[in-house]
Amino acid sequence: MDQSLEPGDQGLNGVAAAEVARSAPSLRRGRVASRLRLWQLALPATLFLSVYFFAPLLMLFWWSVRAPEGGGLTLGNFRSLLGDPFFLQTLWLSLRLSFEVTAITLALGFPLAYLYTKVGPGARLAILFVTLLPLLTSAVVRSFGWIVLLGKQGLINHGLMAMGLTDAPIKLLFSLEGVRVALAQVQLPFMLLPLINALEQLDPSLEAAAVSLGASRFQAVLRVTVPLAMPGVVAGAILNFALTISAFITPAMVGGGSFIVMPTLVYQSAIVTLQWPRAATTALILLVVAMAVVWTGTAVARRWQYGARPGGANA
Amino acid sequence: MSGMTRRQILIGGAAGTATLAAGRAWGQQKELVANTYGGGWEQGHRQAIAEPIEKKTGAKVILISMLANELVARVKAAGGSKPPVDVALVDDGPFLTAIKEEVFLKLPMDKIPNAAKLYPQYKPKEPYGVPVAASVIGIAYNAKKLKTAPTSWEDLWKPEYKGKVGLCTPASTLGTVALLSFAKAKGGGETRIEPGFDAVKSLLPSVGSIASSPAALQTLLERGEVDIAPMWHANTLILKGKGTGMEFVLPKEGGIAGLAWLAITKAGNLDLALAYLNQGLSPESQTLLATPPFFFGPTVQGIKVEPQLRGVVPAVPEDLARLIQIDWTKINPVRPEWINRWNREIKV
Repeated sequence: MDQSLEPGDQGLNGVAAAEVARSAPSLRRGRVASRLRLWQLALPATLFLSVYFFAPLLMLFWWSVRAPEGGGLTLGNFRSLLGDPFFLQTLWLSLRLSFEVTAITLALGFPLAYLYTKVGPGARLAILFVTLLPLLTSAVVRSFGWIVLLGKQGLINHGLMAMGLTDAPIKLLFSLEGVRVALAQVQLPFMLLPLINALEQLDPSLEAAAVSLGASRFQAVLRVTVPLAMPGVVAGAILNFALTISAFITPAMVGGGSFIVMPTLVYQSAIVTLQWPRAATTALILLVVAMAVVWTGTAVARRWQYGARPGGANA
Repeated sequence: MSGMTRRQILIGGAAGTATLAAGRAWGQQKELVANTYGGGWEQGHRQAIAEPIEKKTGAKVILISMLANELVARVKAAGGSKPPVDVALVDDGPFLTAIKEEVFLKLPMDKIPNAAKLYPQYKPKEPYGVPVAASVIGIAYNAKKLKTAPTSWEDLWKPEYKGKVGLCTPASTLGTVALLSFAKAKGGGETRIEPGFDAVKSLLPSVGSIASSPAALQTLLERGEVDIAPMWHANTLILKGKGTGMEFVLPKEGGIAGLAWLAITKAGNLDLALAYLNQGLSPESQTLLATPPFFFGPTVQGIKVEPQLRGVVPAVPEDLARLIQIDWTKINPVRPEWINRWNREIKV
C-alpha cells in the first residue's frame, strides 16, 4: 500500500500540500486519503442529527408498530391505514398539492431567476427583497392576510365585482386553489435561490454560441440553459415538494375545514385524540412516500440532463 | 373566615419559602410556568391571576401560549421527565383525558380554601383541578346584517341564512359541542351522534365556511365571511366590542357551559402552584376575569358581573339553570370516531 493511504499524523493541510507536490499518478490515491480526513468534518453534524433526528425517527418507527391499546408489536396500524380508501385519497391529495405547488413555483421562479442573472445590482436586490419578504412574517399572520385578501368580502373579490367581471363573489378562500396560491407565494424563494445559483454559474458565452450557430434565443434557453440549470431545478423542486407535503398551518388556515391533508391527519391523531401509534404510522407512510418521490424525481432529472456537467455541482 | 386565614397562611408560607430560596440560591427567583390560550385568555390570565400572585409571593409567573390538547399531549410525551408547565389551563374534554392519562396531581383540596365557594354544579368530581372560568356556547349572529335574530339551533336551517352559516370542525371543543347540540336537538346524544351528522349534512347548503379553529371562525365572523355560527360567548362579545354588530344568544334548547380548569402537573413547586389555583378562585381574580374585555363567567358564588353579561354569562344560579349539561366522560371515548367521520363525510 502506498503511504498516502496510511492514516498518518499529517493534518488536512499536510495532505493537501503533499497532494499538490505529488506527481499525476499518485494524485488519485492522495485524494482518497484527503477524502477520508474530510469526512471528519461531518462528525459534529452526524452527532447532532443522531440525537435530534435519527433517535426521534427510531421512536416514530417504534410507535408505529405498537398495538393501539398497548400490548405487543403489530403491523396492524399500517394495514388498517393503507386499506382505508379515505387515507389513500388524503395521501393522493397531499401528493397532488405538492406537485402542483412545485410546478407553480418552477413556472414563476425560472423566468424570474433568468431575469435576475441579466439585470444590474439594484434590480437584483429588488427581486430578492420582494420574493423573500413573505418569509419574514409568521405563517399565522400570513394566513390571516390571505383571509383578508381572498375572502368573499376580500380585496380580490371586491376588485373583480367593481370591475364588473363577476356578479357574485368567487370562492377563493377555503378552497384547494387558495392553498395552492398561498403555498406557492411563500415557497417561491426556495425555488428561486437554487435556480439563481445554478444559472449564475453558467458561462453566458454558451448561450451566445448557440445563437451564433443559428438557434433562436428561445431555443438557446430551452436546449442549452435549462438542461445546464437542471441541478438548480432539482434542488428547488425537492425543497418545494418537501415543504408542501409537510405544510400544516397554511392548509388549516387558508383551506379551513373543507379538506384534509396528511399533516392535518398526523396532528389530529397525535394531539387531539392522542392516538400515537396511528399518528406515527401516518407520519412514517408520508415520509416513505415523499422520499420515494424525491428519489425518483432526482433520478429522472439526472437522466434528462443530457450534456450537462456530471455530478450536478449545485444539487 | 377560617378559609381566609388558611389562605393567608398558605400564601405567607409560599412567600416565606420563596424568600428562603432566594437567599440560598443567590437572588434566584422562584418561577411558575403556566400555559394560556390566545385571544382574551392571554391578557386575562396575566392580569387577573398571574400579576396578583406575583405581587403576593414575589415569584415570577411565565405564561406560555399552548392550547389544551397540545398541552396534554406534551405533558404525556414528557413522561417521567419535567413537564413543560407547572400549572395547566385546559377545557373539559382534555381535562378528563389528562386525568385518564395520569398527567395531573391529585390535589389536597383543603389547601385551596377558595374552592369551597365553587358553584355546586361546577365542583370537580375528582380532585384533579379547579374550574377557574365558565364559558358558554350559543349562537353568534351579526345583528347589522341579519334581520331576524335566531332563537334556537333549528333556526340555522332558515333559508334567509343560506350561505351565511359558519361551523367549526370537531377537532376543537367548540365543533364537538356544536355537533352534539345538533344531535341533541334532533333526538340524539352523546352515545347516538347519527342525528347530528344528518343535521350537519342537511345544513351544508347553508354553510358558507367551515373553520379549523374557534380563532379562525372569529376571523370569519369579523370579516363578514359568515354571519351566524355556533360560538363561544367570550369570542362573540369581543367582536361585539369592535362594533361589528355581533350579538350572542342562548338557544332555547339551552346553552352549553364549558369550564376552563386549572390543574397541577408533576413538575414540583407544589405550594406555589396551589397558591396559584387558590388565587384563580379568589373574588379578586374572578371579578377581573368577568369584566370586559375578558367576559369569563365566574365559577365561585357571589361575584358581581357587568349588566351586559346577564343572560349571556352564567353568574347567578338562575342562569346556570338555563344551561344543559353534556357528559365528556361519554364523549371522549367516541370523539376520535366523530372527528374521523367528519373528515370523511363533511365537505363544503
